[in-house]
Formats: sequence, C-alpha cells, structure tokens
Amino acid sequence: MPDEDQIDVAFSAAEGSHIEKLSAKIGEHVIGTPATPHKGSCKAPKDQWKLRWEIRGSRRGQYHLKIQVNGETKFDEDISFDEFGVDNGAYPI
Amino acid sequence: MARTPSSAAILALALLARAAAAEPQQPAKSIAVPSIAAATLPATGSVDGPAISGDVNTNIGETTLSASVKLAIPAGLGAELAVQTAMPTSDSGALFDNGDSIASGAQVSLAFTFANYELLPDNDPGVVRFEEALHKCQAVSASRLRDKARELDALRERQKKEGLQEGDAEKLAAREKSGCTYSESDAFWLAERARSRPFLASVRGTLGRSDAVFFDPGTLLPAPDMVQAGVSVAAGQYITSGMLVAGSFRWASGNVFGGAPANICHQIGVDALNQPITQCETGTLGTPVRGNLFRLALEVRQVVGNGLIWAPSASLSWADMGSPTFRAQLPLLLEVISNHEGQTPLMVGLTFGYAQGLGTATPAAQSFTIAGTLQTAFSLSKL
Repeated sequence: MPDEDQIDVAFSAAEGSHIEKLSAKIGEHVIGTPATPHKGSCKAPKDQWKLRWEIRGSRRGQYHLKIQVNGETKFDEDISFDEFGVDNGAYPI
Repeated sequence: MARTPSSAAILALALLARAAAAEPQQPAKSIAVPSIAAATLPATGSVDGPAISGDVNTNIGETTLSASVKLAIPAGLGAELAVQTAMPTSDSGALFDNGDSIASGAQVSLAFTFANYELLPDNDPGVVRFEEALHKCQAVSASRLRDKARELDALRERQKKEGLQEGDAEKLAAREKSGCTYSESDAFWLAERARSRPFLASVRGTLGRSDAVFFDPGTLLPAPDMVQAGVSVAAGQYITSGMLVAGSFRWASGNVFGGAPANICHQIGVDALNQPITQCETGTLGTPVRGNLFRLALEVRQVVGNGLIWAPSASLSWADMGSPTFRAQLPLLLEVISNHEGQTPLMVGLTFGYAQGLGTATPAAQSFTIAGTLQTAFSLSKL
C-alpha cells in the first residue's frame, strides 16, 4: 500500500463569478502554476496532509472546489465568497 | 517684436469669465471619483480579462464623461494597459489635477502591479484557532463556518424568545457537545485573523493631453495644451479583508501655467444685415509653460458591507511655478448591481470634495464640490 496520497485539487469560478487571486498550499507544495493558476496535483504523506487556501473573487458570488484523493472524489461543491469577495479554508478538517 | 493679431478678421472680444489673477494651481472643478492613491486595488466591481469601463461624474454646472479600455494581463506581476478619454461638458481648465485619471482629453497608461498574497504560516495562532473552529463545526471554509454560526445565532434567538421549534433543543445540545458554539461575529473574526494581509505596489506610466485651449496673449490665437508624461508609484496595505490603506507619489512633466479662464470670440463673417457673426471659444489666456508637477496622496478604502464603499483621501499637489493645492475627497459608492451571476456591475455614488490653494487667501482658490457618479464595466470577452 503506497505511503503517499495522490491529491488533485481544482478551484474554478462558479457560473457568473470570477477568481481574481488564489493562494493554496498542501504543506509546502503550492497549488497552481502561471499556466493553470487554479489547479494542481501533488503527492503527500498518506492521511497527514492538509490543503489550505485563500481565494479572492466576486463579492457574494461562489466558487467551486473539487478535491480528488487517489482518483476518488472527496469534495466537489460550490462555496460562497463573503461580502468582501474573499474566502479561506482548510481540507481535511 | 511685439506680436499683433494676424488678421483683422479675427476680432477678439476677450471677456474674462472670472476675475482672477494668474493662479498656477487652481482647485479642480470636477473631482474625479476614486481612486487617488489606491490605484493598485482591483477596481470595485471589476471584471476579469479585457474590459471597457465608463464613468459619468457630474456636479453643479459640469459633467465629465469618461471611458477607458483596460487590458489586464494575469501573470506573477500584474500588468494593465489602459486607454482613457474624458469629455467635460463645460470648460474644465487645464489638467492641473495631475492624477492617474483625467478630467478631459485622452491618456494612455501602462501599470505594473506587485501583490503579495502569501498564506500565513500553518503555526500562526490565528490559523490554528480558525482550523480548530472549522474542525469543531465540520466546515471547510470561512463562509461555511459563518453559515453554521448564523444557524446557531437563530437557535439562540428562538431560545431567548422561548420559541424553540421541534428539534431545536437537540441541535443546541449537539452544538454544545461538539464545541461549535461560535456566534457569527466570532466566526467572522476567526476567519479574518487567519487571513493574509496583502501588500500591493504599483508603478504606472501615463502619456496624455487635456483638451484645454490656451490663447496667446499677443495674437489671441488658440494653442492646444502640452503633452503630459508622468510616473506614479503607489503602495497599499490591507488592514482587514475590506480595508486598504494606500499612499502614492506622482511626478509629471507638462504645462504648469494656469492663467485665468477666458471666453474669446472671433468674427468669422457677417450676416445679410452686415452684422458680425462671431464664434466663441473658452480657454486660458496665456502660453503653456512646461514644468514639473508633483503629487502626494493618502487614501483609505473600505468596503463597509452590503455593497457600500467609502474611500476618504487627501492629496497635496504642486508645480514648479505655483503654490501647493490641498485636496480632500470622500466618495461614497453603492454597488447597486454586483458583478456576479453574469451581471454587468453598476455603481452609484456621491463624492464630497474640498480643495484649497495654499499660500493664497483668495476665495477663488477654495472650492467645495459634490459630484454624483455612475460607474460600470463590460468584459470584452463576454461581448
């Protein structure tokens, strides 16, 4: 059994919203590249990793977050921006 | 050799519209709505990608229409190319407000922006407390945590009014057991203290010319304003998610001569009764003089909530040939239509302005203004 999880993370703007800036990390691994700034993949110690993010975009809009671990979808939901167009979070909690 | 009118057909009836000695720096008659210093902020209600935006600013006696096309280039270092044009409905005078936005004429600008959005470290006390709260409430993000806190606030409110509904007591007990007992205010501040405080910096170069007209005192022939080139540097620091404090410094090279506004009428012919037909132009009596223009500005911009934004600012501007001018303005903007769900954003607002020419006590060097504004933007990619 592998001692690492393969994690795939994708942030996207929900219908009618946009993402201005995303800062997301799993440990020291930064999610996103200049070409694909809102998604990324990495391997991390099994069951010992945490995704943290801060996202800026549409005020009162929504963004979508999809997290897959070893190919299995663990989270796939719309999340709201607050009145300042910001949200921050962590997974798993 | 003294210059004289070049043609007898140019009958000059120079009427000084205002009795004023030459003032190198006059308070601006129209106050541009934000932003003075916080130019690095993403525009309120901004859209992503290339965009066309338009402003209508009006106060008593004058309306300025301005339009700009902006091309934002997403990269590590943000870049924005903007072409702006503005048209006042009456004489706007020369472009003395040496700002990044214009009161008349046209301007092209290129800005590079640096922004630091680094996440706080995992062991930051604010991050640790926030994640503890997320865990207790089984919420993945700040907005989900606030939703749970709102539910609890509603339960507590019903409990206080002795109006608990079926299942409420069990929900309250479950919250107590899990430790998810945060009010919405608690949840807001837990999330806020776990967020980074972005630092922004920008440098912007501008090249433009106002549509001011100058009349040569000798010949009374009209001459256009000088091309103005400038560089602005600005820095801003977020204090909270909704509040930015920014400062900027601008240097520009352009006309520094203000002069007195004048209405010059030329005879362009005669009518059937041999009465003169005249054509009048409004401008400044004098010759443009190139010099340096400087400006220092400070601004606080805060999103109060529910789409209300206020951005008090103060600036001090001066030119080679004149005494400084102090300006203060308080824009209150309301986002009537936000830019989510594919809507075109619409902002309405009022800007209260005050300007004072320092080093002079003449009433003409002081002005109060109240301007109304409408702002909108269209994403070119959606057209």
